[in-house]
Amino acid sequence: MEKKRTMTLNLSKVEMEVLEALCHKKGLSKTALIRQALRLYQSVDVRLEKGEKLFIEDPIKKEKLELVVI
Amino acid sequence: MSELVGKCLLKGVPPDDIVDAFLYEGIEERHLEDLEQHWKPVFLEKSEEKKSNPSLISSLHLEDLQWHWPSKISDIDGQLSYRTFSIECGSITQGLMIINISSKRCRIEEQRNQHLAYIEYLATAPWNRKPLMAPEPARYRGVGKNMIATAIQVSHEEGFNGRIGLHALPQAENYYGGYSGMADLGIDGDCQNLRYFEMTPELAKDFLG
Repeated sequence: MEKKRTMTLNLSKVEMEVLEALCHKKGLSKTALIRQALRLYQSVDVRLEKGEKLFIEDPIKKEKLELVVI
Repeated sequence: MSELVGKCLLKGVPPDDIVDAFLYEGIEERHLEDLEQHWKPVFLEKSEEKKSNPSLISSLHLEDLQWHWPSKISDIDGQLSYRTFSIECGSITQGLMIINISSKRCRIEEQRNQHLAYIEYLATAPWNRKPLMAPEPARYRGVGKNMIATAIQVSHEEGFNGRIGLHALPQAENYYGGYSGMADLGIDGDCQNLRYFEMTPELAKDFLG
């Protein structure tokens, strides 16, 4: 609903291939996918700034792997 | 800060007068003040009136009275993962909604793991709730419908093709499963045993008519 601003994004061939593959898999446009990535990055950053940790859990083994995000 | 999105229509008291309401993107201080100054006294008054009938109070399912909106808004302030909306009519807040557009995924098999707009919280003013106000009529009808339509619009804007989802409080299960036409995926043991509902692009199209 808010007016959007336009920018040009330069990607390498490999980066573009990854972007296109993810777009295909998720059924999203490149713009929508990049916006999702930005939200995720911010969301993780906000929580890390609060001192929280980010884990990936194996649903079967219940093992948790802490991700180090720089 | 909130931004006016546009007009929406609500149904007033019988004989069903149509009234103009205003949909805003954003929930700000004046909305939160309305909760304290207008919503809360009505909730308390009506709950008190019905206190003598415990089964009736129980059936009203006033669980959302426990939601502390100022904290919820403060927690997500500035985060791109959330969009918030409010509906005003007669310069009073009639409904509030928080949508998560980032971290939830679809559960219906045909759209499993696709992105969707997930309604984290949706509340309508107490005077718009028929069971609570009975025997008086609800003041305005259509707040929930307008909010669902807004969530579908958000889903389209984000590239999710109208897919939305939510966990319903008990008092709202019939609305989401019946009138709104959302698919009922049953009780979710991982979310306070609330019933989960989801809409496909086709169901969203049907809802918008």
